Amino acid sequence: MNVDFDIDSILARYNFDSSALIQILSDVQDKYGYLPREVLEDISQKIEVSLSKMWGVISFYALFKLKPPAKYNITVCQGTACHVSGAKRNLEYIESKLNLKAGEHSPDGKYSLETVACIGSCALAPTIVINGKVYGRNTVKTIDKLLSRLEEGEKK
Amino acid sequence: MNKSNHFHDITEEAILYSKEKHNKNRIIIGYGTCGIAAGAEEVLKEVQQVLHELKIEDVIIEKTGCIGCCSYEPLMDIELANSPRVSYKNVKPKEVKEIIDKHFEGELKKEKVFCMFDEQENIIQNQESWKYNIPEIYSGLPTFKSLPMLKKQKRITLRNVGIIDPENINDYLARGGYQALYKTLTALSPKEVIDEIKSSGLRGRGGAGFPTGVKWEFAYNAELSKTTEDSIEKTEKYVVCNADEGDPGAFMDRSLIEGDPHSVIEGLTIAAYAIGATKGFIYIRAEYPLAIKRLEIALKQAYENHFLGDNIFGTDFHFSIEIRKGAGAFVCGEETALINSIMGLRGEPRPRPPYPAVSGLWGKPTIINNVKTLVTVPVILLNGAKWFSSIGTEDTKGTAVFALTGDVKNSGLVEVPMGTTLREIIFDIGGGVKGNKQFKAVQTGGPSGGCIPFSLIDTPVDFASLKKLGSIMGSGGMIVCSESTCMVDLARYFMTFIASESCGKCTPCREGTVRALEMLEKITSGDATIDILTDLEQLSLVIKDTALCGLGQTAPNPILSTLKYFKEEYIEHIEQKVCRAKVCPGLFNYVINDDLCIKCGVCQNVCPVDAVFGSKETGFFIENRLCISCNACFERCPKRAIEKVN
Repeated sequence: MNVDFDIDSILARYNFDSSALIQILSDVQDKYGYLPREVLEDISQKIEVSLSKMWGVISFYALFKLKPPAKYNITVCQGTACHVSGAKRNLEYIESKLNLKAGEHSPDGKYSLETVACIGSCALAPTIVINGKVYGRNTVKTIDKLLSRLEEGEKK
Repeated sequence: MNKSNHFHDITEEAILYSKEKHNKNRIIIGYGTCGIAAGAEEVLKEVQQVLHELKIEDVIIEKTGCIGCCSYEPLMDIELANSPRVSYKNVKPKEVKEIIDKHFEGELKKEKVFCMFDEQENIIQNQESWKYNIPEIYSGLPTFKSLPMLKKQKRITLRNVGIIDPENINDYLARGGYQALYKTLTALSPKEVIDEIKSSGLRGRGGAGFPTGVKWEFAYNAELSKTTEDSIEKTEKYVVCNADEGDPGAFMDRSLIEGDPHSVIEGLTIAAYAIGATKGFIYIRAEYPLAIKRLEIALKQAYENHFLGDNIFGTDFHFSIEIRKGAGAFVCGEETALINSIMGLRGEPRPRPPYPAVSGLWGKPTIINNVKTLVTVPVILLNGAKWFSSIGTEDTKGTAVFALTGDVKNSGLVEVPMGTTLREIIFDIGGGVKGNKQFKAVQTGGPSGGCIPFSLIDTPVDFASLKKLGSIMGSGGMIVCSESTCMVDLARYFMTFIASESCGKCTPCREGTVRALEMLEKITSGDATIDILTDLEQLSLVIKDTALCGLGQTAPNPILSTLKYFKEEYIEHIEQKVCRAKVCPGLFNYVINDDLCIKCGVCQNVCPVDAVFGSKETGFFIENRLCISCNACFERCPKRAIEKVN
């Protein structure tokens, strides 16, 4: 992989301050969609935090990803309001439709399925987020619609 | 330059600016995260298109935060020049044209009207001379405050949310914004600020309810006891706004920041002045991108207007604020874990004392306040401690903000005086359970809270009363559960959450919650024997007594409260293998009612695991052993011929 890993502009935003590690990592992830190992090694040297320490931080926080994202990232909210309105059933339905378990990527890199503890759009429960856009009040019907829209997008 | 005159000047300018806005036609769209998810973006596009089509010019299109009536989103408001703002509910893009067309022609699409705003919800505050022309056609429209959902509410913390454009500092200034900060810095000493907050009786709105003024006093006094080599004059101190609203089912802080970000900044700056801090952090969940964006805009505006930075209002007070994003760890809402996370470390808590007010960020005195606490501070300083303490109960002063969700008709943001009963909140404000279902319980306090049954619905909300019932006030999530919620499943749900969010530092929480979860899974799958209940209760009590931080200590609350109030449901799961709410897979069956079935085959098509057998000729049946209870057939059946039976 030969990507331009110039991360100095991100580090400069935080004055190369190691206490901003979480901010730096999340900016890097915003830029690349995940945390590439080469970038982590570079950061490690520049802000003087060992890779093992960084691993400790990365593995602690749920949002950090070490794998490139799939084309469509589907996140099923598992908040309480979503749960009482059927989020678990929705998740199981999507899991069996896509033949993926939460936390997995489809082998063709098209879909990744995740859960989130709560996105705070509880009044629209149960919610699903696809590539950052929130869809509310989901039922099997709306899920079918959403998934077929993604499939159609594929064909175009 | 005289900075105090400078402040009067910009406030005057802001009021003038807002007055001018009132002389124009405006269309205002509720543009919080919920609103956008409900379709506000599409509505906004349609509005722009329609205005162009109808050749209506000179209309200001504005986005506002969430007014808290989430079940009526998307909301589109139209305010004709010098007339009241009229709000339209559940607006679909295809309805936009007709609504706008009619409204600008002096008519109303009555069935879509939600309410009309009266003068107090005006974008300019305290303008006596301001009067609306109320067109005749508006007569009989309900005002915002007279809506059943609003009647019992008292909006102090939510004062600006949904009213102002959160990305425009003029709107905030015109409604009295930064007046409290100005008063604080120019007329009050830090000690006076602390005394005022102390005598107001304000308690932290994050969950534990610690008196805010007392916390500030600890940090204020901390410099006296700290003399290290490098502290020549004053110990460095920090203030932190805790916006890590991790409780699933809670979105008050998100709505507040999305709808009124400047009041968070103002409150935090006042706190900094009170304890003598020069640096502040706002620690916010990364799951709230819109709130972060609006906060960034507000911070920039505050710096530009010199409400932040050096020599604020010409005084010798300096203060700067940095946003620190979380990265998806629930435990970081716990203050010592939050401190570690701000410093770029794993968000693991540590034992207290020392409390952060004495030793927090980088070992320096640090106060951490919830968003709602800080947003309330400016109002207290403007209206006085006496005014604030006249609201609420003996135990808890002021108002409580809840995010009312779940099986309730009017979901949304609710702010009521402390002491309002759960019944008033759920039935009067919330309109009761939706879909003609029976009320079963209300869950407060998120994963640290408990479930309160119908028999205790007349309990007033305040810190002490809810604690007595085995729940907690928490930060404000309130989830209404109907007969179709299984209480054992709900306990299992919370334990799944906690077991995955436990940071793993202390054994009772790391191991105990996983064991408790296993027991609950046994019960919900019908594999348990009755003695498991004693074990479950014992384990819960041990976790409660021995866990290191608040997360672990309160983690068993959902189990203990459901065991206390809904034990019969546990027993049914264990002894009769029955889930009365028909939620737990395996403890109920899907059956096709042949009298209603039209043999259309939708159930077979929709079933993701091929558990529906048969054909259009012979009819269909469901093999429940293959079924994963995803509910797809039940939801999709056009004749509602699929029934759940025990």
